[in-house]
Amino acid sequence: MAQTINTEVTRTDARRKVTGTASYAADMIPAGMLHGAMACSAIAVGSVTSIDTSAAEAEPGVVAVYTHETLPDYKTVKGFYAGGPGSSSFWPMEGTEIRYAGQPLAYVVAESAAAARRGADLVSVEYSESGAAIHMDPEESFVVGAGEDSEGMILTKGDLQAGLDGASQTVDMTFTTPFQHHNPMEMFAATAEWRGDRLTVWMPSQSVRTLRAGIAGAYGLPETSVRVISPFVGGAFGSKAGITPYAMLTIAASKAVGAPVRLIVTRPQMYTVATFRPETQQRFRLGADAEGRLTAFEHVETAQTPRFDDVVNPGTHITRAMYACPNIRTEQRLSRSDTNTGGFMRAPNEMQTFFGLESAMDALALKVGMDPVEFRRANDTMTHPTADVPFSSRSLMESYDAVAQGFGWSERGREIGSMTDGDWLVGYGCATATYPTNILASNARVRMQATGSAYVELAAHDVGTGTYTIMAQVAAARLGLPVEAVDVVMGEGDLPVAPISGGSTTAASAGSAVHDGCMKIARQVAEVVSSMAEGPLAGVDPSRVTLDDGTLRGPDGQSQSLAEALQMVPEGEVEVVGTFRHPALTPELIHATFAGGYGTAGPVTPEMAMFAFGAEMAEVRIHRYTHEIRVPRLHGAFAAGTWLNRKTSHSQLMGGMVWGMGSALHEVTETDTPRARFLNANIAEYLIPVNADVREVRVEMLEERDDYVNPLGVKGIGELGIVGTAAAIGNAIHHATGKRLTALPFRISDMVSA
Amino acid sequence: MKNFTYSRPDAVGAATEAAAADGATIIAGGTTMVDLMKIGVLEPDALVDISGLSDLEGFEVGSDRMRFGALAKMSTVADDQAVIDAFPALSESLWKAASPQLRNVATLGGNILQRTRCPYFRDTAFAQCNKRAPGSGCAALDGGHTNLHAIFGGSSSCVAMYPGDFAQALVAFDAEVSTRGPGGTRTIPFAELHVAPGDDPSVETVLEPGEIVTGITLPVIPAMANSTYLKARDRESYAFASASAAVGLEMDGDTVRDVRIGLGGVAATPHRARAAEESLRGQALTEETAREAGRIAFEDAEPLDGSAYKIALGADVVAGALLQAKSRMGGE
Ligand SMILES: Cc1cc2nc3c(=O)[nH]c(=O)nc-3n(C[C@H](O)[C@H](O)[C@H](O)COP(=O)(O)OP(=O)(O)OC[C@H]3O[C@@H](n4cnc5c(N)ncnc54)[C@H](O)[C@@H]3O)c2cc1C
Ligand code: SF4
Repeated sequence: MAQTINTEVTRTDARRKVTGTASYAADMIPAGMLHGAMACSAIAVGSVTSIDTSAAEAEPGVVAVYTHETLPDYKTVKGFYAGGPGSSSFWPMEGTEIRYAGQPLAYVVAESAAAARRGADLVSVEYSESGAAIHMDPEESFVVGAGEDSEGMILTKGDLQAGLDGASQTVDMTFTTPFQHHNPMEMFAATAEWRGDRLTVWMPSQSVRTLRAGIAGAYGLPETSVRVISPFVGGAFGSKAGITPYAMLTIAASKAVGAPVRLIVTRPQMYTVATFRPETQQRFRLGADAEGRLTAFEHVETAQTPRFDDVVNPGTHITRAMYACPNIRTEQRLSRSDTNTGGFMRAPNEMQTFFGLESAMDALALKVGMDPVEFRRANDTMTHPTADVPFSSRSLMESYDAVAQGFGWSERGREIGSMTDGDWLVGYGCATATYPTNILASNARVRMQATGSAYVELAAHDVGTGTYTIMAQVAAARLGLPVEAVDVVMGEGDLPVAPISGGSTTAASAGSAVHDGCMKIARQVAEVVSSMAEGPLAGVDPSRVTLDDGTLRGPDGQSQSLAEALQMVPEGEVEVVGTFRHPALTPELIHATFAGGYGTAGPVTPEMAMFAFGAEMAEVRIHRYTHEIRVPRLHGAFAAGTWLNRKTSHSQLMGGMVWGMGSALHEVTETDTPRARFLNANIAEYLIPVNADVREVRVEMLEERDDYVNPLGVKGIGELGIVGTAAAIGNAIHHATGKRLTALPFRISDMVSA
Repeated sequence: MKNFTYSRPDAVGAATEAAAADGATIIAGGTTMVDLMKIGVLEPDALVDISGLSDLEGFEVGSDRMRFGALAKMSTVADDQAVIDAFPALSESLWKAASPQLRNVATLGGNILQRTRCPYFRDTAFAQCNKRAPGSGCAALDGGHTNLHAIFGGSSSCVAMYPGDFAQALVAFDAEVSTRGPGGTRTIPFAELHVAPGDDPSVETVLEPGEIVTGITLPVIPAMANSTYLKARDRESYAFASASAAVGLEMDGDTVRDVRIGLGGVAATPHRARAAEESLRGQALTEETAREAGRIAFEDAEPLDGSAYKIALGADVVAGALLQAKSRMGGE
């Protein structure tokens, strides 16, 4: 039996994906399906004074045009940041109110997608417009919870001022990060089909059970009457987590026209009808003594939030876990502007905060006169600095040492601007990566047959990460089967509860439920075969039988393969529900998850702090004449517990680093300030790295054992790679040129003028 | 997208006639047209597809002239060894534009007539845009985002930038376009094809309704052989120029006999930096004189807040391109 865990396994769906036979939600075409399209607001704030739908209705092929006045039985749900499953607390088309540019105002149903879109173009809206601001004003900010610290939004340890006063060197730096949009390759889409009061929704989703519970709740239906199907997801990154207006509008429109309706959101509309990464400001005040040990650490994060929701992605909770320091103060602030509700985008707490933290650490290292890697070593700690609990495992410096070796960090010129190559200035920079290990309750149904097959079923999702494959691997390893013999079914709300594909939880939490299912199968089989008169395990105390990757072992060296033992079970198969309930999961948290919400525990429990760590190094080149910034080399080393699949893990980490490069150099949702509107809502003008930008990206995966996080020893890795990349690149730019760039992204215009 | 009629004539005369009708528009590779139709910026009633006029696909590089048919594909011309040898800047200006997929379908005629990337022009939700809706105002000038806008040739009605690369190699090397319209054929100096925005930025060229660009001709001059196209852009490929320069040099020993400088990413129309060229003629080409030429090239620039960076950048790009062209000559 070949090894199936911690090895390279090609995705079980790879062939289907590259041949176009994997079917995504929008590929499903129910009989009689009509097409939907949205008309969206041209103004940001104000109200609709009148809507003329006559031209749209007259367009050949158009079946119906709905507005806030005419769409019957349109239901909404509470917003996520107000404790519900919705992507936002404000629901367009409930009335005349307009609260952000690009908000849906009318919904057209037609016989073809082209007719529906043309109909949407022909909807003519009269507005009454009020002033609007798309950018936050950090001067007008507030602490969530009115400063009462109920949610841990302000935290103080020691005496910050004393730490700053006593420091031999300090930095006080402010960084900014822009609005960004996820831009998954697969467009947002929803197809709704009503049969009486039974509803089926096909929709790419990171959380099918949330979707099902939310929709059922909104329509007052039992959950069993609502099916939600999301077999594959073509990238989500946080954008397909909540219930959005486009989904609820499609469901209502389908009900109103009495036929299935499919809506595929256009790329420009994808910038306004769902979530995004809010812009932020990060202020760091750090102090260090002459030996380079931190004496003071203050981080104030101010993030953009809409008028009607408090979007809190508390980055300070992560930064304060990084380095030892006796005097720490963190503060989480929000500032309002006129947009839709932002949300999670890959490493929602970490990407922007680690750009600030790791840039400030670099600046302080320089002031103290230490090598940036040694500066991190001087401040490494095995105890969480504010929670005072040990890390369940922490391989930060191992990561730095591994990446430094392969990268050739020792060849870094000591002086700023000391490295050149022809017309290029060259710089090296490094930064820390981390991601919390979040924990959610999960179930998984596992069935093993004596014929040598197994089935795994759970309401998890493959958002492009390889989840089908790793769930099969976990079962195959435990049950002693080839990966191909395990059939994994996911992406349906009716399946056993599994976590949202968010917070990098699926592999760890859902994988652990699959693992538990396999152990339960072994126990049941052991009970049967131990009670039999004959056989290798006859008469053995079943509670002392262990499962060793496909083999049942008795206490005295007896053994029998699980597959063989299963043949002695009368049914010839065993089916169980595996569960994962980490001790840190309280009954309330478990309940929340099972009710369709998110009951997350970690990364800090009363006993331990759980984080994955890594270190990234970048070589940057800046051209003397064109001022172009290029990254010929990007190396990272990471430790995140057990690697389930070295191939898909590698892809996740590499993809994260490439995205990190995009955050550093390309990605920004541009804005028009006077009219409070996003400007580059398309992927011609919203830049992301192209192949020519991505040169050498090297990923090293370190071995690390962690028995606390979960039975598999797995930490999440989906978001780890993006964290720190922007700082590593910014630090390298500083090394090459002496310019400290504090606003993402870094562009030619910054290099010329800075 | 609005419904339209579609025809694909197979003779230039018929195409011209069809395209001259009210509401008719020419489409070649469609990479500009289809984009703008999808987002409702252009709503022609009739599309006249000229891609069937196969006579316009050819091109030849002679000893004293080069001639390119308007339907030659960007990628075909960029890859052609005779073009690369005779006029590297021209090949590079095509190579460094758009993406391979676009270059494989986009035509030279369509390329020179591509439309601005001004974000306000491209989003009909903005009520103000004189280019899209004459008389409506200019959102860019009304407090808008101006990083992508022209620092030469703008007016109080419009500061849109001409975004193309290829045109810079044409404008600095005395290209001409030949056309056929309902009134017959004519030849237009390339530098006069595009018109400054003035009071009516919706008019971008001197072409009459139905007038088809049939070809582009260039005299072969010595500065072509030592030419280069330097393009500063925020990503390594598939990005418009923040600033660019098409430069060609003819040297007489250590002194410059002839020099050509076309500037991209900075002007309302394809832009030749004549004063900078003049500053170099008869001079030695050194880092210093190259930088001085760059400075002169941007002396008269009129930037907006967002586009001010283009002055320093453009000057450096000109200097870098001149030195690059020189180093190529030296066989370095
Ligand atoms: C995402 C993206 C990135 C791009 N990046 C770049 C870049 O970096 N640099 C760059 O230079 N360009 C770039 N382009 C522009 C691209 O090069 C042009 O779209 C293309 O060259 C147009 O050629 P076409 O044949 O497709 O023209 P079409 O789209 O068919 O036509 C363009 C215009 O020219 C008219 N027209 C076409 N042919 C003729 C003719 N023979 N006579 C009269 N009128 C005619 C049409 O009516 C239309 O107005 C980019 C385009 C896109 C979509
Ligand atoms: S600069 Fe020109 S194209 Fe842009 S908004 Fe103003 S008028 Fe329109």
